[in-house]
Amino acid sequence: MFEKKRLHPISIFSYIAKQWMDMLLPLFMAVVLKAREVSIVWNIAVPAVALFYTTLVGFFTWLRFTYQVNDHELCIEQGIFVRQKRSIPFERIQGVSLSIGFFQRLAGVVQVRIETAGNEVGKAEAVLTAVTKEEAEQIAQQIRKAKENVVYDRAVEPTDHAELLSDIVFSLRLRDVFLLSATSGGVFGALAAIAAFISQLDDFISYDVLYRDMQGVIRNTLYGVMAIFVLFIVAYALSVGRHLLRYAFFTVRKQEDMIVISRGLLEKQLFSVSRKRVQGIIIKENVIQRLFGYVSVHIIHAGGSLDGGENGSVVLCPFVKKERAVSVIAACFPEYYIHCQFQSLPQRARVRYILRPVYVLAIPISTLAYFFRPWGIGLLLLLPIASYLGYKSYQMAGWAISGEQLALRNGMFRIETMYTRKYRIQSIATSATWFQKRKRLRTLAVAVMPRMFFKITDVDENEAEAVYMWMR
Amino acid sequence: MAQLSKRISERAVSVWRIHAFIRLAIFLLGYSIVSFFIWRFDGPKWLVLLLAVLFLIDLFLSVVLWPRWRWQRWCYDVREQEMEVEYGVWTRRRTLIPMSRVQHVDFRQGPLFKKYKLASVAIFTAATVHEIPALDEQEAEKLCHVISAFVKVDDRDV
Repeated sequence: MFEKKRLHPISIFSYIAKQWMDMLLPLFMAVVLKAREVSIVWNIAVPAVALFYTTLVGFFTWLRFTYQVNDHELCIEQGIFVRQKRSIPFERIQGVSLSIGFFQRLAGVVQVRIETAGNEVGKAEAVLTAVTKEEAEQIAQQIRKAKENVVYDRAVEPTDHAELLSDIVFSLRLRDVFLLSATSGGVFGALAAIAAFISQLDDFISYDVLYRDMQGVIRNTLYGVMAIFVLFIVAYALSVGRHLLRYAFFTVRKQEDMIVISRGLLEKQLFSVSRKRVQGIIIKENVIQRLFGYVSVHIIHAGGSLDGGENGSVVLCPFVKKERAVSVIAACFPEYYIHCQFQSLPQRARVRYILRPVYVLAIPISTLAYFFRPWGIGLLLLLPIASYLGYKSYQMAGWAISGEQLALRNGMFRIETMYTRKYRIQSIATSATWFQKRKRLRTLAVAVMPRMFFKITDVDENEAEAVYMWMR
Repeated sequence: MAQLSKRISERAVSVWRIHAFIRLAIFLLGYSIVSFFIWRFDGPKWLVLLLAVLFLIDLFLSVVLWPRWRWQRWCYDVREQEMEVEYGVWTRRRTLIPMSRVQHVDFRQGPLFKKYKLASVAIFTAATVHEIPALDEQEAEKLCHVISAFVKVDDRDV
C-alpha cells in the first residue's frame, strides 16, 4: 500500500494535450501571423519542434510524478528539474472530486482532484490526472478511514444517478440551458471571439479585393443584414454548445451533510461539498436575467472552487427563477434566510455614486473624443449613461442583518447578494477616506475567504458602526 | 466608537524615516540616470526640473510628515473575544478580528527592527493577514503569546 506509484500512462497524452492547449494561441500567432509568405522552415519546423518538446515534457512529467498514500497523508513528488515534494495530511483535505475527461474515458480511468483549505501560502492542492477507479476508491477509503467527516461521494460512476432520484433538490431542464446561454452574455463573448478570429484571417483573405467584389452585394442591405444574422446564429450556437457541455444534466442532490452536484455532457463531473465548509451563499443576477426574474446561485466553499469556476465559489444553480432559488437554498442550507429587505444607503451617498463612474471615465473618454473628432464627440454620451448606471447601483446597494446572518448587496451590471453567517466571517472592517468622513459615510468590508472580500461603499456612519459592533 | 487603547512604539517613526531614506536614495539614483540621459540627448530640460521638484516633495512627505502621522494614527486593542486595529492617514480603517478566527500569529523582525529593538506581529485568519507594525520587541513577543492563549478552536468552521 505504501509504495510510490505512477499515474496511468494515459496521463502522458493528457499532459501533452494540456501543453498544446496552452501553446495553441502563441503558436498560431507565431506561425500564421508572423509569416506573410509560406516558408517551410517557419511553418513546418516551429510546430514540429513544439510537438517534440511537448511530447518530451509530457513524458517526463509523467515519469517524474509519483504519489504515495500513507496511513495519514498523501505524498506527491513531482517536477522535471525542480523536484517538489508535497505531503497533504488527510485531516487537511476538504474535498475530493472525480471527473472523467476525454483521455480518462479512453483508458477507463478517473481524475482525482484533492482540495485543501486555501488559507496557507502556497496552497496545497493535488491533481492525480489518471488513476484506476479501484485505486481512486482506495485512496478515498484511506482518507475516510483517517478522517470521519471526509468529503467524498461513493458514486464513482457519475452516470448512474437515477437511483437517488428522491434526494434531488434541483435539476436544470434542457430548456433552461438554452435560456441560460441566451441571457448570460455568452453570445457576445462568442461574437467577439469570431470577430477576433476573422480579423486574424487578414493574412489569408485580401479584404480589399473581397470588398471591391462585394461592394455591389453589400450595397444590397438585405445581404448585409443576413450576414450579420448568420454570424449571430453561429455565435449563439457556439454559446449554447458551450453551456450545454458544461451544464447539461445538472443536478443537485442532498445527502445528509453533503451537497452533491453532478453535471456535464461529454465530461461528466461530480462535486461533493460538505455543508460544514460552506462559508456563504452568493446570488448573482445580470441585467437581462433580472428582467425575467432569473438568478444564479453560488456557494462560497472553504475547499476552494471544485468546479474550476471563479475563485472559491461553486455553482449551485446556474439558472433558476428567483422564488425557486429561495426554496432550493432553504432545502440545502436551512440556516440561511433569503429575503429582500435591505437597508439602503443614505441620500447623501447618491451623488457620490452618480459621480464616481464619471470621474473614472472622464479623462479616457474625453481623450478618445478629442482624437476621433468629429464623430468621437458621440462618446461623451457614455458619461450620462455611466452616471445613470452609478445611480442604479446606488439603488441596489444595501445591507441587512437578521439574527446571526449578514447580507450585503451591490453591483452595477451584475447584482451580487452575499449571505453569510456571523461565525463564518474572518474579519470585518470599516474605513473612511477624508471625503467620506466629511459626509459621515463609511466603507464596510467583510472577508469570508482568501481573496474574497465583499464591500459596500458609502454606508451611513452609524449603520456601519452598528454592523461592526454586531460582530463583537 | 471609542479610540482603541494601545499604541505602537514611537521608535517606529525613526525606523520608517530610515526606510524612507533608503528608498529615496535608490530613487535618487534612478532620477539621476534619467536626468543624465535627458541632458545628454537634448531632451526637454523642464522634465529634469519636474523630477527634482517631485523628488523634493517626496522627500519632505515621506521623511518629515508621513512617519509621524502614521505613528499617531496607529492603534490596536486585544481582548479575549476579539482584537481590533485602526490605522490610516488618508483612509481611516478599523478592522475587527474575532479571536476564534485567528489561525496563527507571526513574530517578524528585520535587521533594522532588531537594531531598534522593534518587531511586528502578523495575525493570520483563514482569509486575511493583519500586521501590527513596529511594536517594542518584548511587547510583541508578549502579544503573540497573549493572542495564542486567547485563540480557542471553534469546531464550527475552518
